[in-house]
Amino acid sequence: MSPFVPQRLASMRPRQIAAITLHQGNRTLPAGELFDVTGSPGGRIVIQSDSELLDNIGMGMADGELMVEGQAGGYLGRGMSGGFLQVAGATGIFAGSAMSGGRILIEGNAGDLLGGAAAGERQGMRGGFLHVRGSAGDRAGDRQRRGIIVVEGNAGDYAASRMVAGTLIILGQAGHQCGLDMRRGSLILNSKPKSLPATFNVSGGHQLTFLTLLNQYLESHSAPWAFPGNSRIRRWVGDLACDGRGEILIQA
Amino acid sequence: MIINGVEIEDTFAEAFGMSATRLIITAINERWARIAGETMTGFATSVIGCGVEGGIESILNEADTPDGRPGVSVLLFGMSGSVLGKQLEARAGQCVLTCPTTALFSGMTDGEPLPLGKNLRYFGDGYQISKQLGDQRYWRIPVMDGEFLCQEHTTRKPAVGGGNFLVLAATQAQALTACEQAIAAIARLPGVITPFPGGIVRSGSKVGSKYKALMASTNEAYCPTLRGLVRTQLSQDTGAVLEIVINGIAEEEVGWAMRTGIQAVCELGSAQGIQRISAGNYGGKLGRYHFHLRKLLA
Amino acid sequence: MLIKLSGGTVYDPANGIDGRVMDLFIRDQHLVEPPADNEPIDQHYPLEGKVVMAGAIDLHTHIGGGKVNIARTLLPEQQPAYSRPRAGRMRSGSGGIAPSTHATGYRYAEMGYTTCFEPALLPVNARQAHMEMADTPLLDTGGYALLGNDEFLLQLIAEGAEQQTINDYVAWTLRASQCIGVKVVNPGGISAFKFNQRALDVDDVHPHYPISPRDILRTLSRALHQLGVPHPLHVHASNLGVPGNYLSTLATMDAAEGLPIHLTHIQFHSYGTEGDRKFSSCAAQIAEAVNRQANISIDVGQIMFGQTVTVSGDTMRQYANHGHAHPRKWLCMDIECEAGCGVVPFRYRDRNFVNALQWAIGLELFLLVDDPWRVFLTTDHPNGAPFTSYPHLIRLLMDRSFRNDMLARIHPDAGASSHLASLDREYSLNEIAIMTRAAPARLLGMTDYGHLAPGAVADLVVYHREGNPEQMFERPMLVFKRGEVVAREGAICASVNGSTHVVRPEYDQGIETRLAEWFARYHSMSLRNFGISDDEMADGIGSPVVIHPCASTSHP
Repeated sequence: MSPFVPQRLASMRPRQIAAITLHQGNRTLPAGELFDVTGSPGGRIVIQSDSELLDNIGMGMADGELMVEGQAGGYLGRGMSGGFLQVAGATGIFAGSAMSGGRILIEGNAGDLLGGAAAGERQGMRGGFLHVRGSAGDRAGDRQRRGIIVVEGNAGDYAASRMVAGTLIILGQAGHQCGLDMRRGSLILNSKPKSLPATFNVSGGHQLTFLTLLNQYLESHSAPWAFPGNSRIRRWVGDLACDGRGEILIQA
Repeated sequence: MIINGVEIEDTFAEAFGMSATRLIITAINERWARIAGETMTGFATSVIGCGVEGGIESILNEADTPDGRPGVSVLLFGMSGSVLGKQLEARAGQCVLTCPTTALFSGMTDGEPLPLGKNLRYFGDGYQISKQLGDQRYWRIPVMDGEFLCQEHTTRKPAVGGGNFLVLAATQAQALTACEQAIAAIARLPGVITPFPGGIVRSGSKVGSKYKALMASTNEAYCPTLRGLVRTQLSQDTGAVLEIVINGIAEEEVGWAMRTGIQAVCELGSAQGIQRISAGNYGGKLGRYHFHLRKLLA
Repeated sequence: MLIKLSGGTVYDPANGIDGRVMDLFIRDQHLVEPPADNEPIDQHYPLEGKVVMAGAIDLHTHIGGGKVNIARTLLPEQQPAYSRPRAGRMRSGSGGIAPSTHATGYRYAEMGYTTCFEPALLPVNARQAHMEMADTPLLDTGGYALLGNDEFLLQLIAEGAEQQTINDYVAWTLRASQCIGVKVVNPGGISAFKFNQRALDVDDVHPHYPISPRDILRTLSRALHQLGVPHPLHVHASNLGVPGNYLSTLATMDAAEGLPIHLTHIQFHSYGTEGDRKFSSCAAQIAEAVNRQANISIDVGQIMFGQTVTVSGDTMRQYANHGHAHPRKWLCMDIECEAGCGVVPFRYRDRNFVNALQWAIGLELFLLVDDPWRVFLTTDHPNGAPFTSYPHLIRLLMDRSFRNDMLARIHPDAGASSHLASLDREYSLNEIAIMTRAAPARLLGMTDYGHLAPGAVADLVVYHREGNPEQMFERPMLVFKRGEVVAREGAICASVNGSTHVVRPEYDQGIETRLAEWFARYHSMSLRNFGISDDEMADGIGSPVVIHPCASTSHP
């Protein structure tokens, strides 16, 4: 689905769009055989589909708006650098992977490796704002380098695994071994996770001024706070197995 | 022109182009924000000896600061961007970073970037944490009372320094009272500061000196004790002269502040010993901005 | 099945044929004498104006064994970067710098290559390496067994074992690992690295065993000579990549004491320390030494600009260079105390002085070595560049003005400090045929390959005669593998599986008694499971062996 991004379709007519070839399994076929294409040239695309097989929606998107009225497959918004991408339903693996800017809003659940690094990549998400109203799978924020991820629901195991920097906020219940191999960055949790690696040390209770700024930023992106900025939080530092300059902030 | 018995001399104040930045310092309460701001601008009366001129522009309440804590807004003025940057780094590092509970933010969004946390972060010795929120980057620098939060950059833009007026009065006490009135009125205005002690300067100067090493020396024409010895600008009954210097982001704001200050002085009028309002200039050759007193008050 | 190829211009230097128009006949899998006049021809290819050569042979290309897999695993992002979709009878493949087995086989065959040799086959990994090469379609393959850093051999030499014992061990290794030759990588250096030694020159003494690289080189080259193995000792010399290493290279040549020796990727071993940057070309000194000593053959290991990955058994040097890894990830490991493995991705840049000079040094070596029978066209795939750059390299050798255009683009100081601009030589088609066909077959003892006389295996290539050699060698018109057309106009049209080329010198099986003890004490598998039988090669692994004869054994 990677051809369907506003910067490529902005000046195309429906008939030209219908001729774009897509891969389905080991076949290639024109988009017109899979979709009815209507509308006029512009910077806004709506994809109406309830298939979970549509991979690479919004891949490399640089501007404009893309709405998915239904579900999306894997690699949603991969490499996205700008614009706004919204999915009404759930998405597959690697949503927001290698994203460097722009904003993604997923109303449903997200699969594993939300904002994560694909095989061989040394960085996952590198910027922008990734907001999941539902829950996320395992290894959300894997190798995240910059940018903010908010998961309103629960998250699977190994959240913020191998995180390089950036911020991952989980409002629901986080799974086991949060922050495994985290180097830097912040994992912010509303409640205690199921478990932390043994290589995290507690650094006590704190009030951190920066949380107020973070809350303001979240508010301006219509996302909820984890907790008020002046809350007392418990701070864990780690992963001491690698660098150890990351932090996990849990509301005390 | 005479207002309430006070003569407004037909002269002008000569002001210079400068480079300015605005900072917001917040702290656990107003007291500590003010202490940080005062410390940062404490030795910042004149570029001649201090590098920059600065002062507290206003006191900010919780709703008006980036982190929702009480704060102050500070303006710093330098003759060039590089001097300003150097002074800012030294003053932020020595006066704000050191001050309990503070955080430091940019108070301007337009203009050229000026490093703030970009250089201060190294104090964190590798333990500093960067957070990017939207297009702004912040540094969290671990210190003994928690974290010093500092924005990566502020900005600088062209500004006006050296707007001024002189208050001539019958006695020293009367001149001071009048100037205090003026400073109180100017303090309420946005975009301007009065860099001298309490906003007031008593050592008005001229360019040059009989001593080769000095760039500036006392303005003998306004010194009451030299009356009879030099060509004086004072009448026989003038007991004291005090000056208010005003720096501002924009020319209009400086002019407005001068007008506000002079009006406050004139309110006391000749009944309170105020005789005349004058202004300092260099014949109009050095500064870009000329504020004619009578035009301001017209 | 009788096939007639008529009217092609044939370059068959092994048989002294330099561009003669002649007819060739293929019966089943072999070239044959012209048939009787009345015999019907099944297929006829009129090839007027076309160029015909034997199938090309790459005698040094890393296409199998653990390290290639490690490179693939380390750089998964390189796989989708170059993908090759399934098409017709071809299966899909991927990877540009360390391609998957299928992509490797197809691309080699598309370029007219029919046989490739993996130069660093670790005996303990032999089974996996042969399986991987069996999975590389369209190519005959073979391997050089790695010796010279294995504890058993070092111990034998250190304790002063008789040459005959060494010979038995070498011959046993060739038999057990199903190899055609023996390679030594940084003789003794990989072992020394594990004793915290970071350099080991030819006459330095190993920190544990009281022997020097020179002892290892002398012992192994003598063993191969006495066993009658056609391929001389294949040497990756000491101090790879170190400025000033040409002295080690000359000492390595000297260590063979006049016996045949092959110095591989010699470009990486021809550096001096002249100039402001203390890095200079010593191609002239090396080429002069090669020209003077007929027992020496070399392959170049040309570098090309761009992203690649270096894979080597030379843990010592790979560790030293890991800081240059691009992208910044690398790996060095020991393999069962027998050798090492280092994988360091690298990007050669034409605006970098050192890289640019490396490029020039490689070309200088090609052009300064007079005898094309003793210099071979390699990029040490993938270390200097992927093998896919061969057509470009051939053009650099054949086209002086193109070469000078390229020279003008590199780092100006590198261009200025190289003699390349003054070298007028242009390779002829016949010389290209020698260095890519006839000479490798001869150096490996493959009597039925690399030439087009009746009796030879019908691996041959038909090229369009293009003005630009790069286009000519990139897309041959036809490629025959064992008498069957497998590629047409640069696209695969049939897939056949290759064989594995080996040699079988005779040896005293008494060596196995001592080896059995060694295996029982130190090894991760038993001696019984170590060797690979011919049946396993043919049926289990899927690549039957082709045994090439050894010279009659000569004892001292």
